[in-house]
Formats: sequence, structure tokens, C-alpha cells
Amino acid sequence: MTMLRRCLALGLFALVLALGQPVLAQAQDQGRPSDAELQLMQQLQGPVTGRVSIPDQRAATLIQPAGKEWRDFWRGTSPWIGGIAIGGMLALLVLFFLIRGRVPMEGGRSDETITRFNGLDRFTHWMTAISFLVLAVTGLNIAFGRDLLLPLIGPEAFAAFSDAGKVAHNFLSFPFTLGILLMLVLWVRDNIPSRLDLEWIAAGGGLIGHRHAHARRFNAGQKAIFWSVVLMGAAIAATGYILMFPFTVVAHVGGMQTTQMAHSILSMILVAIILAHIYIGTIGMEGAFEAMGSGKVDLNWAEAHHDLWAEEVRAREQRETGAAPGAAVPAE
Amino acid sequence: MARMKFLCDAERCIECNACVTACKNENEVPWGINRRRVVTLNDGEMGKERSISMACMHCTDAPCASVCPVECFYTTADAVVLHSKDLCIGCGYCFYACPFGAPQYPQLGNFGGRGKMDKCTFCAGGPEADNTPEEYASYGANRLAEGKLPLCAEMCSTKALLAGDGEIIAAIYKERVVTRGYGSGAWGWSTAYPDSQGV
Amino acid sequence: MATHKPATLIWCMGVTQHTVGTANVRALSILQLALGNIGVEGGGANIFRGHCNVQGATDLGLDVTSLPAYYGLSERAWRHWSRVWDVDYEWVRNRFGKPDMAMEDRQALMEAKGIPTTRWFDAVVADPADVDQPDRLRGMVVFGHGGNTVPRMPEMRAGLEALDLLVVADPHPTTFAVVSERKDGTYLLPIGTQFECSGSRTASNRSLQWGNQIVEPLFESKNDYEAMYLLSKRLGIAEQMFKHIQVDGDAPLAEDILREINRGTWSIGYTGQSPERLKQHMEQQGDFDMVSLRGKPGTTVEGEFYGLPWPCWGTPELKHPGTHVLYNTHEHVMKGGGTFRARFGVERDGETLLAEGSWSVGSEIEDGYPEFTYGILKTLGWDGDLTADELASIQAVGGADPDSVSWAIDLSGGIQRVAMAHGCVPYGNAKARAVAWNLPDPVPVHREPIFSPRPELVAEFPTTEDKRDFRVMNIGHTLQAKAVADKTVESFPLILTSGRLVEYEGGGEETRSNRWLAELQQEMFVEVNPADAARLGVRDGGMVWVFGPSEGKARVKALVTNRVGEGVAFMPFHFAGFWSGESQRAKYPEGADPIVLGDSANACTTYGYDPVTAMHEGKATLCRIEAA
Repeated sequence: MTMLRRCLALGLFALVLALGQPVLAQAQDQGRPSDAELQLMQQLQGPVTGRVSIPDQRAATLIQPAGKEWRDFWRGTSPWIGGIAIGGMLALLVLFFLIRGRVPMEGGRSDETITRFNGLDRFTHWMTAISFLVLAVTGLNIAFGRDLLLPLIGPEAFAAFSDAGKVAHNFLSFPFTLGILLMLVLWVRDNIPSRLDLEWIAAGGGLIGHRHAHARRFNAGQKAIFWSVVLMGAAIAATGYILMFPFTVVAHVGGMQTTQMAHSILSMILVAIILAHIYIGTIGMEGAFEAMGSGKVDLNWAEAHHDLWAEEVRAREQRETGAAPGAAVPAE
Repeated sequence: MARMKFLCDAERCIECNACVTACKNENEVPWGINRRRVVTLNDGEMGKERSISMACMHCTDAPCASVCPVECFYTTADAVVLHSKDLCIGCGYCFYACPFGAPQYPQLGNFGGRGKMDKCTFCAGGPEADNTPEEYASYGANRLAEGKLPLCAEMCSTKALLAGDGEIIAAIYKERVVTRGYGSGAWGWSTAYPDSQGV
Repeated sequence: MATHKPATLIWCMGVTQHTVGTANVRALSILQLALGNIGVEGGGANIFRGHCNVQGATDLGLDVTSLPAYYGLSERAWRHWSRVWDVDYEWVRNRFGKPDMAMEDRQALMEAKGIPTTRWFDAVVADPADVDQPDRLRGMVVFGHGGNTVPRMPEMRAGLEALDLLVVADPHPTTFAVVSERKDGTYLLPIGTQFECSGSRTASNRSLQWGNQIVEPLFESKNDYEAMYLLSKRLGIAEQMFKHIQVDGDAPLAEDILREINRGTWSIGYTGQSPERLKQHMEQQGDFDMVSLRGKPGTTVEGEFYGLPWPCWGTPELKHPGTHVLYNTHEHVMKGGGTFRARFGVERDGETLLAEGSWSVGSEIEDGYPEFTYGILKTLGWDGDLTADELASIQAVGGADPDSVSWAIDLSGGIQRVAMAHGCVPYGNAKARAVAWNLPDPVPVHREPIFSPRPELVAEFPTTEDKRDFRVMNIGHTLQAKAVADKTVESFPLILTSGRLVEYEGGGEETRSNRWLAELQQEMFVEVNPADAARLGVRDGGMVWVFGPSEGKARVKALVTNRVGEGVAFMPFHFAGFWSGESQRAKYPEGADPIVLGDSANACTTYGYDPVTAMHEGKATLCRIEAA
């Protein structure tokens, strides 16, 4: 704070300096700040706020030095975070694919399938997924488009794309948010962490090495994805809505800056996480895509990855098909 | 080429809002959009009250231009920071970055529908051809192209608000400081960029 | 102030709008005299005006105690102006009173002070026997005046409702048009602004400028001149009123109006500023020095002061430069110099009132001297300098007694010309007067406001006695005593004062209808000190009721600020269109409602009139504030 104060005192003539360099020394000699001026300056720690007669009270903030810090974040820190998270994840996945290749289905395909996700499950997933993809692309465009895409397609096309992207980003936030809520309702029961998860993690999730750990409907990795999507998605949605309705929830520009920072960091990390999710659900593992594709998975796949769940499902199916006649005829 | 700057001498500003009114009228700025505003610090405090007229300060390394996701800002040969409303997507980021609260956005009614950003142009219009109806409709007057300075400063009755070539207004200000024997009163970059020695 | 010289003293209505307004102004003038700040560059006693041409309106007879140019209302004054207008004095006199009235009564009415704008409603609701004219006030035509700028609005509303006829002539419907429950007999005449008509305008420094019409009167509006011409036609006096003013269609020529002013206003030297000279100054603004206001050497306006501030003595042809600094003995009178005026005779209580040992540069009389008359010129032997035409004019004015014709009523300007040719100021050379023996308080004294925050001081400093003046009763003294007896201050503990905002002007309809200005002040407010606000449970931006000690109240936004001291509340007086918290927007003609409406400050302000000018006490009353 003293540092800042000193800077302010020194900065008294920064404007003069900025405008006509040689006048500074003379001005400093001849023109001391008045006492009132110094008192005023001493208050200048943080935003300088006064009174305006117009209703827009944001206008009462004369100067907000925090804008510089936000700028540094947005042009400096944020691209690094995003670059490392997303680029790093991509690199990791490529490397993993090169080393491990596609994880094949153990024991090959059986003739049997069991239902893993019903219609509502899949609708929820794909609504959220498609929304998220568009949100991610349009969001990343805001962060990186200027440096990556603009030089390729030119300012007019880029502005048109970004403008449409902004509209899409705003509107698709609603299905995304709805999807998050539905996921929570539909799948939270199967995503409560348990002791099995520790074992699964200890076993490397079956991706590292070839040993499968026991798992119910969702293994620890999937639970991690679930909670990332639900918690981070909710946070991203919340911060996004604050940004969408500027200065309604958050009154001050500082709050808007913080919100924007949270939104961008969380979003870029979630994008990185989802990249891994997409990888494992598509090219990374044989038989995985079907779960959200047709909703039915090969029995062998299920037994390999979700043995306990597969048993439960089969037991339930047997109860429902086999036990019914028995119930009609009481045992004697 | 001149490097155009604003300077507001708080020792002289009498909070008459003539600059604001001149700006609104000259540029037909709609209700609710305040390209220029007068802020009174220490309102009512005897001897400490100061008023400052503030608008876009046309920074040399403009934060708005730096953070704009679509790079809609450009700097003219006179060092005036302008932007293209054809490119602007109304994201609001320039408002977060601007130390002076200059960017303004019309509300377009529906949610998230912030319009294209609007701000002080130093009465220098926009990217359209000089002094065309299209330019006026989007950006307001282009007095600079007519060899005139911004109307806010031209209308200032106490000459608190100065606009023009940075070196010339700095010299005028320096002369004032020397004459009255005490300093500052000029508000702007020193506070906004405390750790820099200029712009 | 004793050590910083020269210094000027500037005030506005904060000094004048009091029961002691005249005393305040005199006290400040005496202070400046005592400090030696009168008659020098950088000094002076300056009253800043709030609107375009307020000074000009005052000079031209807005004051109900005087004909134009401060001639007063005496027979001599009326005869002077009748000569200027070229109408019979008797004809003018017969405009006054009722058909069956005797000549003496008509003349008495003609010479009686009028009813001021601060008091008109008292003359409407009063018993006719209590109004010093044949009947109570029954009709009112208002040109460019806002009803919310004068205190006691509840009473004003009652007055409006009791009028038979109300004509509001203004660019926008003013408070008068909407504030009352009048249903009939109200006429709104749309009148153009100053930008819609040409003419001279006089500023606070007595400079005149020629204003050109910028736009044609908008919509169906007309300018003041045309409206007045049409009105005079209906009243059957157009021929006399515009005898020497060219009228094109129904539009009087602005230049001719100023020429008529020039022909009559000798008393204040409003005579040299012909339209041609003013237009020349406007066109050659660049030829004047920005600081001294003098025309630069080598130009065609060399030595003249910009706008020919009055007194600009003599005829336009005499080329007097105007007087930038009043009473400046360091200049020759023909270069804008002057002396203190010999206005109150030459002697009082055995002492001379004329100057002693002081005269303006170049004066051939190196001592005090009385005001100039034809008789004085003869005594000095300067009468031979008059031209034959001037002499003929003086003799025509003087009739049987040409010696008594003074510099102020000589229509030729000859007496002024000759006096100045000898370096003398036409109005004489006397002492400035600090004791005004003809005023209620010859020396300014303190008197408490009618609603005093310090009732214990009222016994020692009471307001002036009740008096029937300006055709109505002034019962300030009675009300002051009552407020003390009623302990009004206990239920109304805050001082309430009022004033202006830079964004708005006067009643504010015009400026509150301007979107650029209206945006800057969107709500009526009351400034309350933080300490008072904390005590009253009032928060910044919250709504409050302000109750005046009479019957008025206003619902406004609280602005908690140190702009006002503890125990003081301030309200701007430009707002109207709300009455006691109720919007009156529906009462405006469609599309004529100002953007911003609000409760009026003067709904809460109270009784109190300066005994000399009848100026109201808009700056000092009491109030109570409650969170709404």
C-alpha cells in the first residue's frame, strides 16, 4: 500500500511526462501538489469513486486500476492456463494412443448385450454434449480466435463468426444447464464415491496395466467425469449467467472481472477434461461408444469394466423374467 | 502527426456538465449512453471536492484494444483509439479492462442482448468514409476531419478540459501548474497506471 | 478581503431572496465601497443572472415599481415615456382604472406600484377591499415565468383556481398550466424561445448582444413580439403601441424595438447601442481583447467595449464606447469613465452630498457637481455648445420651463453630449451613499427570517412591521410572531433553502424537456447532511417527505451529502409536474409533458417579502423530513 501511495505521488506528473517528456523536472520543482491534492491522492488506493447525477452508478467509478490486472490475466495468464490445460491434454492423449493404442474388448464380442443407458439417459447426455461442444468452440474462439482464426479468415468473416458464436454461446447455455441438472438427477445415485473407487484407482483403472478392478455402474474415472461436469459445469453456468446479465447480479466491475476469470479458467479446464472423456468414449476404447450410442453394451465389455453392475443387471433381468411365473404359483 | 490527448484540470472543473451535453448533442448519443461524464470526488467535503470530466482517454497502449476478442479497435494517425461497430460483438470485455469506464453498451432488450459498444471517438468518427451519413449514424461527428477539436473541450467554459496535441496541452497545463504554484489536478493515467511512467 | 485587492463580489439569489434581500445587497455594496473595490478594474459588486436577458428584462420595466430604465412611476416619468412613445399622456392615463373613475384616481393608480409576481395570488384570493385597486386580480397573462419558482405554491394553486382567466405564454406548458384543478378559462400560447426571434439581449455586465433568429418558430408557436402585437390589436392599442415600430404582417421589427428603447432610456445610457452598432460588434468579435473587452487598436471598433455595456451615453452617432467598469474615475467619461451619481440632491443635514476632491479624468469641473439640466448648462455657459436642433428639442420637452429639462429626459441627447464634451458625467458627481434614508432600514441591519430557526433572536431582530404595500398586505411580522408563539421550530427543526442546478433553468419545463439535460438530473431530490440523515433514518437514494411549516409538502429522493451543513436541507426549485407525491403528467397536453417531472421545492417554502422589492423569502424557511 505504501508502495502504491508512493507510486501515486510520483505519478502526479505522469501525465505531463507522458505528453511532453522534458517538462517533468521543471514541473516537479515548481509545482508541488497542494495539501488537499495530497489528501485526495492518499485515498486513491483501489478504484477512485465519486458521485454522478446520472442513475448509472458504474459511471461514479472514475478510475478502476484493476482493469490492468484483468487485462494482464486475459492477455497473459489465461492463454497460458488454457494452452497448458487443453494443449497438454491433447498431447497426453496422442502420446497415450501411440503407446497404448485402442484398448480392445477383452475376450472379443459376445452375442449378448445389456442395456446401459436408456433413452432419457442418452438424450440428456447428447443434449449436454452437443451444447457443450458448441459452447466450447465459441468460448475458445473468444479466447484464442483472435490469434488463431482471425489471421486465417480475415476480420469480417471472423467478426461474423464470433457474433454468431456469441449468440449461440448465450442461447446454448440453457440446454447445457438443463442437461447438467438432469444428469445430476439421473445419475447421482450411481456416482456416490465408495471404497471400490479406491481399489479401482489403485488398479490404475485398467488403462495402465491390464488388470481390471471391480466396478459398479460407474467406475472412479467415470465418477470423476460426472462430478467434474456437474460441479464445474454448474459453476461455469452460474458465472456465465452473471456475465450474460452484466451488473445485475454483480454490481461492480471488479466482480465482473473475477467472474470472467473464473468462467474462463473453469471452462478451459473442463474442456481439457472432456477431451479425455471423448477420447476414452470413442477411439480410446473398443465398445465404449455403444453405451451412449445404442445404449446397449456388449456383455463382455460390461463384465470387463463394470463387473458388479453387470451382475446386478443380469440378476435383475432374471428376477423380472424368471421370477414372475414362480410368483404366480406359490411353492408347495 | 499529432498525438491527440484529453486532459482534465480538476482545479478548474466546475461540474457544469457542459462537456457532457455538448458531446451528447454533437454526436446524438442516445439516452443512457454516456460517452463522457463528470464525476465529483469528495462530494461536499470542504476544500477537498474535485470534479473531473472523464471519457475515453485514447491510451497509447489501449487496454480495450488489447483485450478485444475480435480486434475491432484501431488507432488513427492522430493516435485516436477508435473501433469498428461492424466488427464489435458487444462482449463487454473492453469495459472490464478500461481504467476509465469509457465503453458503453446499449441494452437491446432481450437477455444477453448487449448492443455494439459505443464510446468517445475524440469527435473523429469511425472507420466509414469521413463525414458521411453512415459514419455519423454509427459513430457521431467527425470534427477532426474538419480540422476541429472535440466539442466537449471546445465548449468547456473554464478550459478545465483540454483536448488536442498532447505536447501542446501538456505545455498549457505545465504553465498553469507553474503559475498557480501547485500541482496535479490533472486526472488520468497516473492513477490508472500507477506503476508506469507514462502511457 | 482587506488584503486581497482588487476583489469582486459575486452573488445570485442566495443573497436577494430574503426578507432582508435589499439590506443584504446594500451591505455587500457598502463592503465593496469600504474596501475600495468599486470603480476599479477587477472589483465591483456583481449579480449573476440565471437566464438569457434577465438583466435586459429588469432594465426594461419588469420591476413593478418603475417604468423602463428606472424612471420610476411619477408623472414626470410617465410624461417622458409618453413623449418617447409619441402618444398623449392623457391617453395613457385613461388606460388605467374603470370608466367611471375620476382623473385623479386614474393618475393615482397609474403611479402606484404594481402587484409583484411574488404576490399576485394574494391579490386574487383577497377581498377586493383589501387590494389597492378597483378590483381584485381576475385575469393573468404569464410570459416566460414558471409558477414553481416562487414560494407558497399551495396558496398559488388556490389563486390559480380563483382566476377568471389564465393565459400561459411559454415554449412549454409551465407549472401554471397543470398544477391547479382549473377546468376552464385557461389558454396555452406556444411561444418561441430566444433562438426563434432576433433582438438585443443584455447580460449581467450590462453588455448587449444582438441575437439573430436561429430557427423559425417551431410548430404553431409565435415569438414574443408577434404575440404581443396580436394581443395589442385585440385590445385596440396596437396603433399607439407600435407607432414607430415597423410591423411586417403581424411581426414587429426587432431593430425598431431597440431603436425605441434607445430613444427613451437616457437615464441609464441605453441609448448608444443601436442595432447597427451591436451587429457590428457581433460580426467583429475577433477585434476585441478577450480580457479588457476593448476594441483593439487599428480596428473600426477601437476603444469600444464589447457589447457597449450601459451606460453608453448619448446618441449612437456620438460613439460612446460603453462603460465596462462603473464609477471609474480613472478614465475620461468618453472613454468609459464615470463618477458616483448625484441622485439624491446636493445637500442633506447641512452637508454636501456632492463629491469632494474627486472627479473623473478630464473633467473641466474639478470637484463635485449636480446632475446636468439645461439650466445648469446655462449657468456654466456651456449652453452655446448645443446645436439648434438639440435646443429645439429641449424646449419642446420643457415647454414653459426648459431650464428644468435634465440629461435624463432630454430626447435629443444634447445635454449629455455637451456635458461629456467638457469631461463631465451627465448624472453629476456625488458621493456614494451608505445611509439610504428613504429605505426602511437606512443602514442595513440583521432581521430574522419569518420562520426563524432561532426564535429567541426574533425579539431583538424582528422582521419589519406589517405594511400595506404593492397593493396588498404584507403580514410578515404577524406570521413571524405567530411562528415564535407556536414554537414552529420544534416540529420543523431543519432549515430549508432552495436554489438552482446547472442543468435546468427557472421553472425548468424547457430544460426538463431537453433529453440531453434531462438525462443528467432525472429526479427531484433534497440534500440532507449525513448526520441528520442518520438521525432521521434516511438513506442516500431513499424517498422522503419534506414538510414545510405552512401547508406544503413534497415527496422527493434523499441525497445524503456534506454539501449541506448539519441542520440544513436544500432543494432545487426547477422541478414541477408532481404535486404532493402525485404525478400530474396526464394533465399536460399530449406530447407536451417534460421528460422529467418532480415535486416542487416551493411547495414547502413560505411567507416573507422584502419590504423594498417584494422579493420573496425562497432561501430561508424551516422543514421537517421523514422517510417515505
